[in-house]
Amino acid sequence: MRARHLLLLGLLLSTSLVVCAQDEDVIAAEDGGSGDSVAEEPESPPPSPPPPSPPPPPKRKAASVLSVDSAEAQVITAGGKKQSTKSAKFGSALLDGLALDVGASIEVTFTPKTDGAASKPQQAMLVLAPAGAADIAAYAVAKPRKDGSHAAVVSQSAVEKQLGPVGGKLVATLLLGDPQAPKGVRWELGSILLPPGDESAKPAPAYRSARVQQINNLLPNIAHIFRAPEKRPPAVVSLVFTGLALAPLALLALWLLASGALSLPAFPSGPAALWALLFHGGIGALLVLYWLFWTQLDLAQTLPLAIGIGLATAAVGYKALSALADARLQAERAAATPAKKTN
Amino acid sequence: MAASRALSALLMGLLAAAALPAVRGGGRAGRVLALIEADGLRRSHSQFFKGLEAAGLEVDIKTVGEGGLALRSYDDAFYDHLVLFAPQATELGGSITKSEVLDFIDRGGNVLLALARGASDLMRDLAAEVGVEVDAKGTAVFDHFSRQAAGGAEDATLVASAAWFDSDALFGGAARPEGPVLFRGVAQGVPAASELITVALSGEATAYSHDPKKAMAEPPALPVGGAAALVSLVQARNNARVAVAGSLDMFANEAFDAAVKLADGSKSFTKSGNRAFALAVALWTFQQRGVLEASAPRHRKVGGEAEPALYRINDEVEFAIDIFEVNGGERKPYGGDDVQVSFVMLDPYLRQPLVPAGNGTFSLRFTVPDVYGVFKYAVDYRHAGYSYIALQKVVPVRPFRHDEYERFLVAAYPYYASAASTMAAFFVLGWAYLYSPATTK
Repeated sequence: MRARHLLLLGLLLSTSLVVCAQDEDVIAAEDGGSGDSVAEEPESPPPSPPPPSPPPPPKRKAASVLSVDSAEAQVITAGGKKQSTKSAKFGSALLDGLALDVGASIEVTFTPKTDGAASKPQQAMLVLAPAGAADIAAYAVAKPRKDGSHAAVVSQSAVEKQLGPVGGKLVATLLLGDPQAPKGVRWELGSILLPPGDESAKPAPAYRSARVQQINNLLPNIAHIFRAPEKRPPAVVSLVFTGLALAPLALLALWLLASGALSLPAFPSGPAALWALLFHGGIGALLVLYWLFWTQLDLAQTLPLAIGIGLATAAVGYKALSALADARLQAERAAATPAKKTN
Repeated sequence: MAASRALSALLMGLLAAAALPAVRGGGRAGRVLALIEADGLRRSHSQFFKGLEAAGLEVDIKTVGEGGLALRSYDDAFYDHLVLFAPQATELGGSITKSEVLDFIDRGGNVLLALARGASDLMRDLAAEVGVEVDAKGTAVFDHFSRQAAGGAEDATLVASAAWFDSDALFGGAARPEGPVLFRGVAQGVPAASELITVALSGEATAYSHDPKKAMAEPPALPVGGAAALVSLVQARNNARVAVAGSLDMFANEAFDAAVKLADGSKSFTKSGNRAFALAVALWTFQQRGVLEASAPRHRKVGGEAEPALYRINDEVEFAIDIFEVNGGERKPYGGDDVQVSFVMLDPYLRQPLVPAGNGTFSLRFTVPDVYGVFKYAVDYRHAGYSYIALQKVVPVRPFRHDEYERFLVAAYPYYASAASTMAAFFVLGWAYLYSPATTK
C-alpha cells in the first residue's frame, strides 16, 4: 500500500519535472527499455551513445539484479611496470595487504553483471575512505572496456586531488548501481596502505560537504613577545660600589677629625659670625635645592629659588669673607708691630 | 479655537507620519513574496507555506509572470524575503529581473531559491551569482543505496540523505529531523575555499551526480558523495541570506508526509525529515535562526578609566563585547567559545580568544604591547550558520612620558652616592678651609 502511494507520489512530482521524466525515458531506452511504467513513450528518441562508452545493448527485465563474481587487482609501479596480480571472489577483502608507493597505482578490474550477463551499470566506482578521517572519501570511477570488464585505477595523486594530503590506510568499497536495478551492489574490498604523508597535514577535501566543512574562521592565537628587560647587576654589587663611592668622604671626615680642623678655631665672633653662618647656610640651601631638583622639582620651580638663594649667598658671602679677611689682616698687623719694635 | 487646535494636531500627526521611515507591513518576522511557476504549487506545497505563516511570516504567493510584480518602489521595499519556487522560469515577470533580485540581496533581502533537474539558465545564473556552482543541465543526483524504495527501481533520483549540517544555527535548538531528507534534483559544488557558503545538506557517500546521456566525469569534477551538495546556505557579507536548494520537490507536501524506506532495505522511517529540514532552511534564510547581535565593543584600563582615549604601552586593559543569539525574536546569550579579538597595527600584535562569561559578555584582559602607534581592536567572527560580526575600534598607544620611567634604581646607587658625597665634602671642606688653623696661618 505504502509502495503504491510512493509510486503515485513519484508520478505526481514528475509532472513538474518534465525534463526529468524525459531523461528517465532516455535511461530506460538506453538500458534496452522495459515493461515498466517509465517506458510509457516508446517513441522516445534513440539514445546517442556517450563518446567513450556506448550504451549497453542487452535487454533487461524491470527488476534487474546486479552482481559481480570476482575482481582482480594489479599493482602498476611508477615506471609503468605491471607487478603482482591478485584476484578474489565477491565478498573477500581483495585489496588487503596491498601498498601504494608514490607514483604507483592499483588497477581493480571486475565484470559487472545484470541478471547474469555482462553489463555496464550507470554507477561503477570505488569509494576510498581514509581510515583516520570520518565522512570523507575519494572516488575512482571504473571505465568500461571492450570485453565488458570495468577497470578503476587508484593512485595517490588521484586521492590527493580529492582529499588533500592523506596517508595511512584507505578502506576501499566497490559500488555498483543502475536505475534499472532496485538494489545496488556493495563490496568491501579491504584496505590499501598509502605512503605515510606528513603527520601534521590534515585531509582537505576539495569540496565542502555538510559534515566536513570549515565551521569558523578561527586563526592561530598570537601573543605579543615583550622586549626583555635590560640586564642589571645584582643589588650586592651596586651596594658595594655605593660604599666605595662614599669611602673618600668618610676618609676626609676622619682626616679632618684627626687634624682638629673641625674644631673651627678661627670661627669669627660678633657680627661676622652671623655673616659666616648665613653664608654657609646659603651654600647648604643651594645643595639641598640641587637634591630637590633631582627628586621633586622641575626647572621652572628650581631656577627662581636658585637665583634667589644664590644672590643672597653671594651677598652674605661677600660680607662674611670681607669680615674674615679684615680679621686676618688685623691679626697679621698685630703680629707684625712687636717685631718692628724689636728691630 | 478648539477646531484650530484639532486641525494643528492633525497636521502634526500627518507630518510625523511622513517623517517616519517607510513602515514595512507583514508579520513580526517580515513579508515573504513567494514566486511559484504554476498555480498547482499553492496546493502541492501548501504545508511549507503554512509552516512559514506559523513562524510569523506573512506569505504573499504569486505566479511567475503575473502583472505588477515588484520587490520595491524606489527605496521602499515591499518584501523582506523572497521565495523562488520556479526552477524552469526563464523570466520572473513585472519589474523582477535577475539584477533586481541581486539588488534585493544587496539591500539585505533574503532569498530561498529552489532548483530542479533541468532548471532554467536564469535560476542557474542566480545561484552562480551567489557563488553556488550548479551541476550541468542534464544531470541529476542518483543514489542506488540510500534512496527511497518507491515500489521498484524506476526512480533512483529520489535520494534520501541524512547528511545535514548538524548545527543549532540551522535548527535553532529544535530537534533534528526524524528521518532522512528526500531529495530529487540537481547537485551543487561548493569549493572548500568558498568563505560565505555553508553546505546544509549533502549526498550520502553512495550518491553521485550524473547525466545519463554523457560519460561520467572523473572526480573531483564529478560531484559525488559528500562533495555533491544538495542544499547550500549563502550568507553575504551584509548578512543577507540566500539558500540554494537543488530540489523543489523536497518542499512538497508529499515529501513532507512521506514515510521513508531505504532501497538497500537497511532502514525504514515512519516520517521523512523534510518538514523539519525544509522549514529550518527557510527560517534560517529568513533571519529567524542563527542571528547574532553584537553590542558596541567596550574597553577600559584595569582599575582605571573606561573607554580611555589613549593607552600607554604595557597598560593592563580589558576588552569586552556582548553577543546575543536571536531565534525567532527570542534573545538569549550566545554560547559560542570561538570568538577572537585582535589588537592590530597593520599586523595583529595580539590575537586571543574572548572568554565568555555565560551572560552574553565576552571579554579579554591583556597587557598592551610595548610598541606605540595607532592600534585598533578587530573582531571578525564567522561561524558557519551564524551572522557575521565585524567590528573595529581605534585606540592609539603612546610610549612612556619622560617622568614615567622607573626611578632610584639600585644599580644607580653608586652614582647617587658619588653626587651626595661630593656635595657633602664641598660643604664640610668649606668650613674646614675657612676656619681651621692650617688655613688661617
